[in-house]
Amino acid sequence: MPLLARFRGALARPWVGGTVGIVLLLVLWWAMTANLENSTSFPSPVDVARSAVQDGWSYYGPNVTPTLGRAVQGYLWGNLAGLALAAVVLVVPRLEDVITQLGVISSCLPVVAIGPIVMVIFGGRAAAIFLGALLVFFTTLVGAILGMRSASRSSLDLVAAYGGGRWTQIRKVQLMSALPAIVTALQVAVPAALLGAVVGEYLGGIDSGIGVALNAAQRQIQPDRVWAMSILAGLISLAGYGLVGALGRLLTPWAKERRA
Amino acid sequence: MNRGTGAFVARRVGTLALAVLVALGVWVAVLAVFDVSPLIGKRPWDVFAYVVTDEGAAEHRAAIAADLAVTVKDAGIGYLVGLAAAFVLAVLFAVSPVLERIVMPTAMVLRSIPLVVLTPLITLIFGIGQTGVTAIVIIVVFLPALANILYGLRSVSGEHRDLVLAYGGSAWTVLRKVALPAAVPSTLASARIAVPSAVTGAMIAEWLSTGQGLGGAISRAAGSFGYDAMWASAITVAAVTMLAYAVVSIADSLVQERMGQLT
Repeated sequence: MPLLARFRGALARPWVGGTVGIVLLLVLWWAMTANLENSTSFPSPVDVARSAVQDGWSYYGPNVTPTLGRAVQGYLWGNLAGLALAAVVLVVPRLEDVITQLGVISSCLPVVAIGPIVMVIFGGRAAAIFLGALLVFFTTLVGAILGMRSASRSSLDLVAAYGGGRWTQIRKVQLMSALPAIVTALQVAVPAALLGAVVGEYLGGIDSGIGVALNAAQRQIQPDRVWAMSILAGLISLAGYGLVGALGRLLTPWAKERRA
Repeated sequence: MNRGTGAFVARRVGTLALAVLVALGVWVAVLAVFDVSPLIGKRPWDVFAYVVTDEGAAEHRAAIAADLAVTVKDAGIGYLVGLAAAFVLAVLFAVSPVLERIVMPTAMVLRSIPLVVLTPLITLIFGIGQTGVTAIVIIVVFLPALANILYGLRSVSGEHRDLVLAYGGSAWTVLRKVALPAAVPSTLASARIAVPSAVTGAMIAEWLSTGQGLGGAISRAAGSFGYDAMWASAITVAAVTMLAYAVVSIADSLVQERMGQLT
């Protein structure tokens, strides 16, 4: 069957397969909700889209912008801390086990538990930023350390054989092989930073943001808005994920073969 | 258990103990540097007093233990179901790449939706209760595990596959003899990474939806200025998560060692 074969071939391209998946998901969603009369919990995609268009930028703008600002700050601080500790491991490899273990501890601190504590000590805005940073820290630290370790033994030996010192090894081999892994970690960190910022808003002490708007929409029983805002937040973090990935590919062209 | 294994476990536990000490040091230092009022910022010894030496310590312990049992159940069910589902689906995808190409990009989109944003949606769909909490934990555990395990199944080298096929094996034989063993490390890594995320998922669900367990207890304590209870609950859940992570991670290393992949 040539038609089926061509269809299968087309699906091999990620864009086509992904689009088919999303469309299937939307159809499934629509089919599940089409027969529900006036559902208070499960609006159809059409209702959600209508609500999103009706509310428009005047509703989403003031709520999305502050959250984005805090997520970006948390993203920067968390990545900075993660990369700094990874750099310590790079220079003093003996510390790797302990520093990784510290990262594990930081990932075992549940945001729900840390949030109220940070909030009481530093206030609402700082709590949102801190939580974003905390969630970002571990993935970036582990990603960077794994990347450094992936440097091939023979490349390191080659540098040493040509009289290169430890510093040359770090610069020419380990950083080069760590960068692609760091880019991946920075990508994964995007949704994490947004998650931290939104959790921070749920804690209170902040008057506008995605979390605040979601909370309000939920209490006023506006499921259309809850769904529209949730999907928007997902799209934002997906866009961030794609943006960081594209920047990373531009900055680390030598990683192309490995990704393909 | 040979002597090498014992030494390995001892070294792991030693590193963990050292890291815990450093973490305690950071805890005390942060509170001191930012000059946090002792009424709000409890020190390690305050928490110790609250659960061990204080007058009502037995009651405090009982309250925390009851909440902890709920949280462990919430996280545990979702953890097991999520991992099992991820494994089954990964095997299905390994056999049928077309299915993978349709589902995986969609799964990536879902994965990038922040958990907190997902919680109201899940609550809307499943209502407030065990089902909703379990659904949230499953989602948190399932998506990263699926991607990881699938990567492991795919890491089979072409020569190994060709060998099985040349001897008349089917795609299922390749799966059984080559791909499944190759996926063991990534499956174990997923089981390890999923521990903290399952707890986080359960806590967020408890906090925003059911109000039970440690997640509910912490937000209630924070709202009613019960800072002792808040710190003690937070430390308990962090300690239990760390312990579970350490157990899974040591099991992970031991299995890999037996399979000859520990370097």
